[in-house]
Amino acid sequence: MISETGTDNGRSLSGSRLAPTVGDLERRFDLTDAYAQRNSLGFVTVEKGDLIAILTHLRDGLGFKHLVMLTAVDIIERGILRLVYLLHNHELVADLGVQVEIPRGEVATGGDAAGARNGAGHNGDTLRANGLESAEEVIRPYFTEMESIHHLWAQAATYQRELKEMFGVHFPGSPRVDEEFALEGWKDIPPMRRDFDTREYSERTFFPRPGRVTHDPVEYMKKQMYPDQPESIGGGA
Amino acid sequence: MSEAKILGTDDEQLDVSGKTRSTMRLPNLDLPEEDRELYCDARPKAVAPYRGVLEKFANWARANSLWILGFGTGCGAIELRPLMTSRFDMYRYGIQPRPTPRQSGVFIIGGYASVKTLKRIVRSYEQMQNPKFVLALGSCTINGGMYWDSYNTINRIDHYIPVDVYIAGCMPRPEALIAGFGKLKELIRAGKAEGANQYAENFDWYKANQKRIIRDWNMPDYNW
Amino acid sequence: MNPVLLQIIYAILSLFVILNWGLILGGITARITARVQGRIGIPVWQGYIDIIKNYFQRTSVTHGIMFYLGPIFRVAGGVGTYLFIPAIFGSVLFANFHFAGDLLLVMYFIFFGQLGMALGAGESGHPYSAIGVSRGLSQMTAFEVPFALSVIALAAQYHTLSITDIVAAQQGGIAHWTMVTNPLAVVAGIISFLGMTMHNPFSVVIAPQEIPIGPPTEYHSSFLALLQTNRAIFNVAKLVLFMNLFFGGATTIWGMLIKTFLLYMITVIVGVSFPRFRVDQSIRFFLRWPTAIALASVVFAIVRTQLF
Repeated sequence: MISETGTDNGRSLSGSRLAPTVGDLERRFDLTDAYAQRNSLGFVTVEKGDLIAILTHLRDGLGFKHLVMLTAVDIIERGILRLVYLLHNHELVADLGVQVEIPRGEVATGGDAAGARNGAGHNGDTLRANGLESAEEVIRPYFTEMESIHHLWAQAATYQRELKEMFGVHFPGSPRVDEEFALEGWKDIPPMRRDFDTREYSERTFFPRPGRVTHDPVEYMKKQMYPDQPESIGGGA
Repeated sequence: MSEAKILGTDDEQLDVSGKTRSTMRLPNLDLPEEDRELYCDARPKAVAPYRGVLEKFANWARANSLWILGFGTGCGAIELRPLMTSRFDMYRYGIQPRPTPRQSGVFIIGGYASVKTLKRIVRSYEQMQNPKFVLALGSCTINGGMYWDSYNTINRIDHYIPVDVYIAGCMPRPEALIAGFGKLKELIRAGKAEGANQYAENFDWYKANQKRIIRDWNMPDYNW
Repeated sequence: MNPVLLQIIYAILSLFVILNWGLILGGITARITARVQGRIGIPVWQGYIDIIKNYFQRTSVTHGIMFYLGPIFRVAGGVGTYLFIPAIFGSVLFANFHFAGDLLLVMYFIFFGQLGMALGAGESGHPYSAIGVSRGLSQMTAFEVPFALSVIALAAQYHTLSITDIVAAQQGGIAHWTMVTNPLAVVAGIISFLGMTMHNPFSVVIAPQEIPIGPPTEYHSSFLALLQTNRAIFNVAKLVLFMNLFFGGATTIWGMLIKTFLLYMITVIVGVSFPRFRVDQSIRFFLRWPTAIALASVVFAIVRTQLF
């Protein structure tokens, strides 16, 4: 499991296939942390400024040519967003996750929409209807930003679009990063952030049908035996 | 309809560029006067059914020739494929898929409807001709189902379009779907499946619900 | 009674018989196709129920005058094709208006229906209709080539363009049928017939999975009911035409029913066995071997009439 404090977790790297790779990286760069989850999967944590150089070196020099995915973890307790760049090496048949911690940002900044709340998006129809020519004229407000890697892998542009919409991370220069991706007409904060209460939003916006009950035996026994304790997150009527 | 009755939303927050534009522009705004009526400015009207034997005969024909719209809305679409093929064979009941909403009479809402899908569902539903029927599959259409607390899926589909038959399950198997079609046929023969007229009569309520959910409304108010 | 009025009543009666036969033939075909696929399939009378349901739709949407006229042209093409062919040779009831027309007029009516449909579908404004129309017309011009050549071969062989005379020349046993006297023309004609019925492998025009239905995309309610009615009539009209040209015509109603059924089975068997051609593939197909066979049949017919 990915540990939140960043200490060594799981097996050490010495027995895994990634040992030579991580050794090479440690000689060239500063790694905050490195561990192996299993023989073929390891994670290293790097500084934000080194990221592009490390990814370029991994892609060109060490054979990690395949970008599997780019995703983010919102660690609200420490006030950071951890971006995870998962790369794959076809010769070693191993995955390496490069993790970067960036400040998660509490206030929406930047962007052109002074009147809009955090995160109003737009698509092609909205642009034409409002008389705008292209999406480059509009920047959606964002909470934090990071360098884009779309020049290394073209498909990173799609992941970066998703991260912008869901977490509020701006990637300047990434193609079409300010266009709406999966949500249309979204006007609230980016929904994957931990301070967004999705259950409350759903009950406020959509029309919940009253009388929803659960027959989960765990919940039932909890109510029977500990009636004073608060409900758990996932269940309850 | 009279002059530019802009029925679009007047939400200021949608204007991302900061310029003051008060409303979304409907596609038919720039058309000359004689063309404007071709593009959906009118409201739907309820059409009264025939009476007596003629309506019974028409209902018998409608019940035995159900043309479903080939729009796989959600995860229910995966149950439509075995329904069409050899094992469960819906064709023997007179149920045939049609690719265009103009020609079809039954709309199967297969499961959860995200906000994005709901916009397309509304647009397709309004293009179908009176009489039209809706079959809602799965628990997500009834009370939100598995995605009841999601920020992107709706909880009750019957607040946006009228529903005739709900088929419970997650997803209901093809046998359950055939039973649901049987119930729909009973309703049609009894003259109780008047979803299109119900939509026309309560048009403002449905439209208000839809507009509350679908924020970037860039289509006409009624897409006939 | 006025003989013209009597003729009109007979024509309407024979049209009614043909309409029913067309709908039932469609149902039987669907049933056979379903059995090939291991299913049970729609009931044989489903065609009737579909048309009745479409007529009872309460609303319909129009896109203008040409949109209305599209199905009207189509039905005019279908009915016109039928009314100038003698359905049953020697029968008064099914003789239709064969004295007024001949083979070229019937060929014109076959083409005319498709053109009217193209205009109507074009006015509906749907992009898929336009794609379907362009595919349909290009495929039609392709299969008209071997068909026209085999008609020329028949005209050269029988020295006439009147369908009644062609049928009369084929009476007197199976040895007189065109199938035996000029088999090349029959082969070319049947291949172009496959294209005419738009079953697989030439069904890309109305392919439901590719472009939603093609030209009739925007047609619904009573417009669609009219198109479906025409489909039944038009299918049987083409079958009767081919039966008269190549297979000796029919002298009794049972003969006509059996011969048209067997002829339709050829298209059904080919239809269930093959996947679909693209439009450019089908055009190339028609302009290659079937045209060569049709040309050979013309030469054959001319040589034969010169020698005998």
